[in-house]
Amino acid sequence: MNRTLILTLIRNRLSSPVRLALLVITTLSLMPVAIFSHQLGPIASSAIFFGFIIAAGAIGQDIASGTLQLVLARPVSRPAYVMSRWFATGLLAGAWTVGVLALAYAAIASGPTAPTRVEFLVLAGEGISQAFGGAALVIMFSSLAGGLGDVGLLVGSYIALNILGQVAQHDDWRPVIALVEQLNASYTLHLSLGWIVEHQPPPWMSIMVYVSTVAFALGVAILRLNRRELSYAGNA
Amino acid sequence: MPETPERAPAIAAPRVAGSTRRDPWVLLAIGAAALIARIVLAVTHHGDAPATRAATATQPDLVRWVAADSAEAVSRATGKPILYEFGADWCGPCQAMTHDIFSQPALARAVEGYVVPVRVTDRQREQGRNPPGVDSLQTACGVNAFPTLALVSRGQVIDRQVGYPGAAVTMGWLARASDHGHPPRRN
Repeated sequence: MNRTLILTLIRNRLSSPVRLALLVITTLSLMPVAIFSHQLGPIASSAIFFGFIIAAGAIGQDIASGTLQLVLARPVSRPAYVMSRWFATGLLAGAWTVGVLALAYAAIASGPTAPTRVEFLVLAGEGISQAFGGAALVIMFSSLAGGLGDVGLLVGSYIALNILGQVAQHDDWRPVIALVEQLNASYTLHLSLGWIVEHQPPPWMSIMVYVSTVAFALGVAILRLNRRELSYAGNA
Repeated sequence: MPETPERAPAIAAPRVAGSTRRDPWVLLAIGAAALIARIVLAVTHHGDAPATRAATATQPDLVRWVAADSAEAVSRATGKPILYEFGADWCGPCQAMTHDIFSQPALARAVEGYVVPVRVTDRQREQGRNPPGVDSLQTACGVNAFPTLALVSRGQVIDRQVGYPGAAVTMGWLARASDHGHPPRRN
């Protein structure tokens, strides 16, 4: 990973009015739910959306604007570029999630059913993991499509998957139903950490879903970028 | 408003020595190993299980669920609020909650200690309609997503948890919410 690339992308995202507006709107829609229900769960489980918003176009916009050629003309490898993109977007989305969780926690801390500090920490950990997971998914799609085409790929594939799931349910195709369930799990990436404080055995299934999804997403992104031919004479 | 394209940063880091062509294959190998483990887990724990939230051979549901029509009487007799657990067979987080909480001996006992547990399973998707009483219960408890846990005391919904935020949070919520919802015990 490259520190300069990480800091540059974070600065870029924090200076983007559109992304900040989307983050604020999402946050403002979640806060009342958390405050009135006295639960931080809705915020932690929405961290993946923060990852989506921040990571959208992380590679695709560089491809579309021609920045990728200039970045890769510097002493940085393509895998380092992809990993830096992922880490920067995951870090920012995770930090945003923790900030929102802290605000909601402060707002409901005095209530009769306020979450404990341990619960807050567990949810913060789950939120950060979701943010990094969501960012990995978008980075993969971003390596496949220019501009903000990754958003289209993400939404389109999710809708297609759910239509397939509905058809499979209707016709009772058990193997397809199982496949769709597994793929759907890769779009939500909920990694429960409660087992640590509950002294329960680890939820191996959730862990494997998370690891396989993130590793595959980053592997595909690097593979795609390694095979992409970049020309300085093109119209990029 | 169009975004300003990111400028190419000045990078002074030294070029990584050696080929980086293998990097994606290492990640893909890790992903493949995790995927195989995922498939093995799915087959050994869930894959051969019937499509139901009830007990499986490896993860039995240990909570003694009370029938919905007798829950009110049990609640009055025991002084505990009623916990309605709304879910569906196709709902992944519902399965996770069953696995993490209702199949764990200590947590299952704790649930029974706090509340009168009532399971309400939605059959709309599988059968086109729900068994009698399910729709009215869902409406009364304001259910619009699965899983939803609704705590009812003296006929009033006193608290709800929508979604599954993990075992620790759910058990914490249940402990606090049920503590505030004890109906007066009938003498």
